[in-house]
Amino acid sequence: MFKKKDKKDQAQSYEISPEHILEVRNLNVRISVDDYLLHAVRGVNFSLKKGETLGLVGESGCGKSVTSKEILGINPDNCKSEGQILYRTKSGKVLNLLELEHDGATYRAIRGSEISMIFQEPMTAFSPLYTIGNQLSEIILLHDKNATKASARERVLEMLRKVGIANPEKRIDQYPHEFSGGMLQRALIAMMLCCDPDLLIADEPTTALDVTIQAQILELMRSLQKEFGMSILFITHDLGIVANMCDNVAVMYLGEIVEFGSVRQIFHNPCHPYTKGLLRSLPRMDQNRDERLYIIDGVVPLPVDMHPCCGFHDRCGECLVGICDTQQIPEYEAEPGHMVRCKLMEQGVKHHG
Amino acid sequence: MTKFIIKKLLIMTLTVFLISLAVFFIITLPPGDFMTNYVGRMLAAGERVNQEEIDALRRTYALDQPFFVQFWSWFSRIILKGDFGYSFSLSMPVTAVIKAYIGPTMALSITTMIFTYLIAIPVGIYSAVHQYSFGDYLFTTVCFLGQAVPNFLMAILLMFIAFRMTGDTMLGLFSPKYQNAPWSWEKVLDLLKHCIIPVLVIGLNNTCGLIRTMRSQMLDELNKNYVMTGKAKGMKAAAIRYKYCVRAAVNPIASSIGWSLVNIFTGTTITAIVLNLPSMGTVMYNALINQDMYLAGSWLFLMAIATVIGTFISDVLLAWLDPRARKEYLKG
Amino acid sequence: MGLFKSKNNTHSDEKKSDKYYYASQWGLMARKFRKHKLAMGSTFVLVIFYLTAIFGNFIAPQGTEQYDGKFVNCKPTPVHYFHEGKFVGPFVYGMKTERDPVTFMAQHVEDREKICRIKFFTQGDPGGEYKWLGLFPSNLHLFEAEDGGKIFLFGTDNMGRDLFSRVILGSQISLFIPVVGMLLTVVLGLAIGSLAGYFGGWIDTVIQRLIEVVRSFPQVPLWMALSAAIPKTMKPAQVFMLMTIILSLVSWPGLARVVRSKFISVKKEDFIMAARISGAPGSKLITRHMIPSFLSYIIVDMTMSIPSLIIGETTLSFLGLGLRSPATSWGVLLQETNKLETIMFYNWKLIPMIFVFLSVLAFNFMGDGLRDAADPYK
Repeated sequence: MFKKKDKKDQAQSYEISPEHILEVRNLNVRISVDDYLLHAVRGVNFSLKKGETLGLVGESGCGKSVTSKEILGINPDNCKSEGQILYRTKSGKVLNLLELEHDGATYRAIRGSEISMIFQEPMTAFSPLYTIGNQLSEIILLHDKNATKASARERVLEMLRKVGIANPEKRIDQYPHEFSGGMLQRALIAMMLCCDPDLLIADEPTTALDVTIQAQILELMRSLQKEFGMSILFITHDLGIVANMCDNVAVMYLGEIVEFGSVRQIFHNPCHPYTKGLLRSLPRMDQNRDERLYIIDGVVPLPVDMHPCCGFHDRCGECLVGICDTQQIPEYEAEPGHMVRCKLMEQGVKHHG
Repeated sequence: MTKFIIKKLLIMTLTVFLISLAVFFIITLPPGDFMTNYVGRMLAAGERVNQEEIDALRRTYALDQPFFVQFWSWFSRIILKGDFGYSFSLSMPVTAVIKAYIGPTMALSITTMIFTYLIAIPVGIYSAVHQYSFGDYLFTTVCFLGQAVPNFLMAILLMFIAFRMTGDTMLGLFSPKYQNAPWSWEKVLDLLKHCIIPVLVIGLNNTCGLIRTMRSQMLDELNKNYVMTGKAKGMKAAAIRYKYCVRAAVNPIASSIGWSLVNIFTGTTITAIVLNLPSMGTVMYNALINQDMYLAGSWLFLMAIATVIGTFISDVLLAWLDPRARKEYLKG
Repeated sequence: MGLFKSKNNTHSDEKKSDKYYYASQWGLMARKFRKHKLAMGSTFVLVIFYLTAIFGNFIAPQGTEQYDGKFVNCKPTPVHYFHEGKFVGPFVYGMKTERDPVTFMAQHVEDREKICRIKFFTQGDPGGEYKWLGLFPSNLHLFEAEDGGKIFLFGTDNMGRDLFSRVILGSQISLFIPVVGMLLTVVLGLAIGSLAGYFGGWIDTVIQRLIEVVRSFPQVPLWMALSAAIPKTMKPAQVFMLMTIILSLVSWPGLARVVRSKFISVKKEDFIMAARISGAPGSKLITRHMIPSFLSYIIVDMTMSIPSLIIGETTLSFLGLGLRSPATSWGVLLQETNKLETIMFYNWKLIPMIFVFLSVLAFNFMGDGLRDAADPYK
């Protein structure tokens, strides 16, 4: 089935804006779990420029990880996707990644060498049975046909040095369990940058680490981005990191992007009630100590049997009964480049709050 | 590594000593000592009993002494002289009995073991990779059924089937024709033919258990995060499976060789009794029935020792195969 | 997620899911277990087996010690409903003895002339008296054939005993030895394992050595050696007790090891620390907090261990090392099948095997269902 698809993409060609490296168009992902069908990603659109960092923000279970894994084609088989993920390869050709066979040669050639991903838990991202050197040089040997074991080892040493691992000559022959979490995340970053990718997907890369290590890793990623010039899709639930790292931000809720804009626009002029809530629930320096942190009422519902509505309607303080819970909400442009998916943005609708 | 092995060896020695104590205790459980039983049987058979001879034997085995003296006399003779005592039912030294039967027993066990692993590992991997497929359901069902049939029933059933199909019950290791014949190709073939049922019976339980373990291990590994990393690297799914998952899933299985050996030994015991194989199991059984306790005890002792050695091999293998365990062992 | 407090939901299905989220551990287990069809089916089969065993003397037409020398090695009697096309209800034909013209062996064949209807809830023959649960004397039996007819649903053995009755009466031993043995195992394993896990130190070291020694003995040979030591003159009831003790003596170390390691890991958990700080005494800590936290695991483990106990008892009795005739267990019944002629000519004598097989399988499936249900990550 997939083989046929593979041939089809040779025939059809796609166009994306020349400055873009990635465009996601109307992406839908459905996951079948037991007897349910979870609609995890619902009509997501976004694009990423060369060298730019896009933050994808949201609570656990809002679909941000699924979206990012779909780009890499590494979601498990119980996920079915629709839409387009258009990607410009190093050779300049535009491919719709959704049409590629997951385990096919084309996709595999892209993974690791053009699009790379670093994960949330570096401690489990490595196999405990092989040395760091073995697992790092593997990616080079996979993608560079001219590489020899010796040259790959040289390259790995160079990368380990670059990510700030002391004494790489000794470290390269150690096993993952001999590394600390922060060191492993560095090694993982080194591995994923070995082949000089154009796009790096970082799936909460610092969540599992100590705060001091977090800052170091973020600093490292920033400097490496400068050096390698890649684009980064940064997935996180930490708005502080977003403010630090990103150019643009997409806020996801229940499988939808509810607000998209530059960091400045999102932080200074949040328009969607969910974004506002997120920002209000951040602790602030000027806040009175006795004051309790803001809480958004309710929990994220499961996206099962979704009917057209705003996903946030049952937790929203400004919900327009009869509209928000019955209609598909379109996108509104608050400022140039600042998109909001909220009925309250429509002119003439009474603004409560 | 050396330190780890030495430490394990020391613990082993202690365990062996405690085991021998337990074995000796079991030996002395039946009422009366061996001599009383022996004399009783001789008298029943209408034989003359030479009281002097009896007293001499009593002294040799310290039967008139307290438990611990008896034990020490038994244990020290095993350790120092390799003398396991005397089998009264077979009227020969236990060592000679063991020598005569250890060959076929080991041959049968090792053949079964190879068969077990050769089947269990690939089938387990297949079942895990194709989870919920027809093949997976088939193997899982067969395994469940296989584990539910006691060894001796399996032996009876197969014997019955063999008789129905070939007219030969396949008892023993050789057909009567070849029993005392010199070795030839035909004799080897005959032996192999007679090995089929024992290997099937002894191996089945263990194979089924191993398949299920292998399957669940492999499923665990397939869901680990490093599989995702491998995919993100651009590795082929099959390559990830074989380089990372299989290697990780096989580790505990490979290191369970020690326990498998024990299971197989156990299996041999029962199966040998039913199928009348010339193995230690049959000898042990007869010894138990006749309360020939030196023989039975020695055999129990040897099995326990085999288990201890098996466990030792397992520990060393695990340390050798898994870098994490290696580190832990080196520390401890 | 903890940041957000729950809001009162109005939708009914959300209420249902709320119930799911706040259900107790046991509620969740029961829920998941009920979804496991094989496990539910197996539980049903086991309930029937055990009920049959409990009401065994009533259901079995013959008592343990009854036999009929005239009907040796009878084939299972077919039960009929129609005679020459006419419906008469359940009945059996009478039996007559003929000699096989070729082998000259005596054979019992149906006498088509004589119809013996099956009566239900009858007072049995003299000799069929029993005391239900050892307390209430009775001679009530579920069914019997009229006019001296004989019903041997599973045939008879070489002494003319009804195999159907023997299978049912045998189950009273074969199904209860494992359970009693398991309970003993649980008591031993829990006590020794918690001692080692809770106190640690030298107690732990000693217990661990002990466990290692017992585990070094292969199970079945050790069972064999121990049961061979049971004096042949002992009464069946005493043998029964000794058998359960032997079975559990060999199998406690497995559980003790698990309990020990669970104890060690649970000792570090926050809720134990909290209980300790609030001043709970050691014994309460063990019985109220630690054991319940892995109780589900123990239950699963124990269910899974019953099959090996059933197989153990059957095997030992089969080998003549455990229970011996006149005591009846499935293993004792199978002793006869050790001879090849038996299987060749009287293959109905393999019927007890089906029951061994079914009960082992049912316990396996039930254990599997329980394990899946107890696994919080599934």
